[in-house]
Amino acid sequence: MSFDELFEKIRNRIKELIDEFEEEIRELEPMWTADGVLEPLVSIERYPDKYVVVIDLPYADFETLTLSIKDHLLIIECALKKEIAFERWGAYREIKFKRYHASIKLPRDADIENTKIEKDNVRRMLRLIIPRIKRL
Amino acid sequence: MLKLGRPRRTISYERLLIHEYFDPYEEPVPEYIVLGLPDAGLVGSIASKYLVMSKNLKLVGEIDSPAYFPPVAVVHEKTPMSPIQVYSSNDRKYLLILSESPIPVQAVYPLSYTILEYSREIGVKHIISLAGIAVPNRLQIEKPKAYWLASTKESANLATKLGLEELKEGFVVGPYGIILKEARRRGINNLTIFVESFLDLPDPESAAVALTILSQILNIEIDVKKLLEEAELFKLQTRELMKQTRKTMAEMQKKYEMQMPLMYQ
Repeated sequence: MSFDELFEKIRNRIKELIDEFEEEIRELEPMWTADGVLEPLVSIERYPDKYVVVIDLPYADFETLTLSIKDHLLIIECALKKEIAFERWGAYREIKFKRYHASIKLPRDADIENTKIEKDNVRRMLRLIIPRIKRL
Repeated sequence: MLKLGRPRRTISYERLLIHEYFDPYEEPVPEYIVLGLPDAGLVGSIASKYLVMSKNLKLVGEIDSPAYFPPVAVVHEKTPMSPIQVYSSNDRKYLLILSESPIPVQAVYPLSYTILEYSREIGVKHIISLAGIAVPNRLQIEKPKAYWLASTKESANLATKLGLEELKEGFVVGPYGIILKEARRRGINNLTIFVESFLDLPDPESAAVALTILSQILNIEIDVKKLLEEAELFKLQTRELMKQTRKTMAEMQKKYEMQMPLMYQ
């Protein structure tokens, strides 16, 4: 392995560690904001040739769904079918949840250009199949 | 009015406290303890919460621990209480233990032993655990399959009439695994029902399958129609619990369950 290849490998690993650290910080944050935005649950399965990302969007109105990708960040926006409030939820009962927003940091070897998207309209779930780029 | 006052009795096992608000020895003594702890797909948690709501089960106890649990009180109907609660059916046929927060890794063994000792103390015949078993292609599965595993012949007898497949090889990670192996060593009847589920997304459909099987075991009617109709609401309400449970599952190395054990064939 040449010096450049080794350097690139180390650089990628450091980036991955920073991503993992940021993810741990995010774990401590609530999954909603006071202005009615929900963060969906996201499950990422890693296979040798692809990533499968499943996004759970209960009450989502898929007609309003938008997905965009910027710098390995997958951004999902989707309105709820109706505004939802939890009247018995103590100090937060007046919050009306209106939409989902998620920024999902994808692994660096994700071939985002070739992402395949499947919608499950009954369960209100999205499945993204993202091929992996072969690395050094 | 508060839902609970002062406990009638507090028992201590393994630095955990069980606060009782009922007399467990009064006839009829409960035959079963149903367990719904946060695990893969929150199958047990969703199933048990739905059972409490649909059967209007009575809150009769709490499990707490200053040694093992984070300093948390959950408030229901103006009453502060432990996230781990014990409910009873109106006919006292079964008790149900559910947890509204993940079981910390260091609490898994003591809590498992406590549940086993308590079931022996009050003379329960069987502990029935409702669990999810993560499968990678869950989104493609229309009807999740269920498996069972028992600690004794008596508990196995409960399962054989259900026509489900027995779990023959594999790993079970978390409190359900500890309860199963320790129940076998202590000769306590434990039957665990594993329903195929998502690993880290709430799975009300799998919870409905678990409840349908439970209804056959307990010989009671459980209508899961409302659970399926309100699946989206359950998923919305359990997102934070799932997120926290994901973290504890990672700490417990839950992905072990997907690994192949050493087998002869």
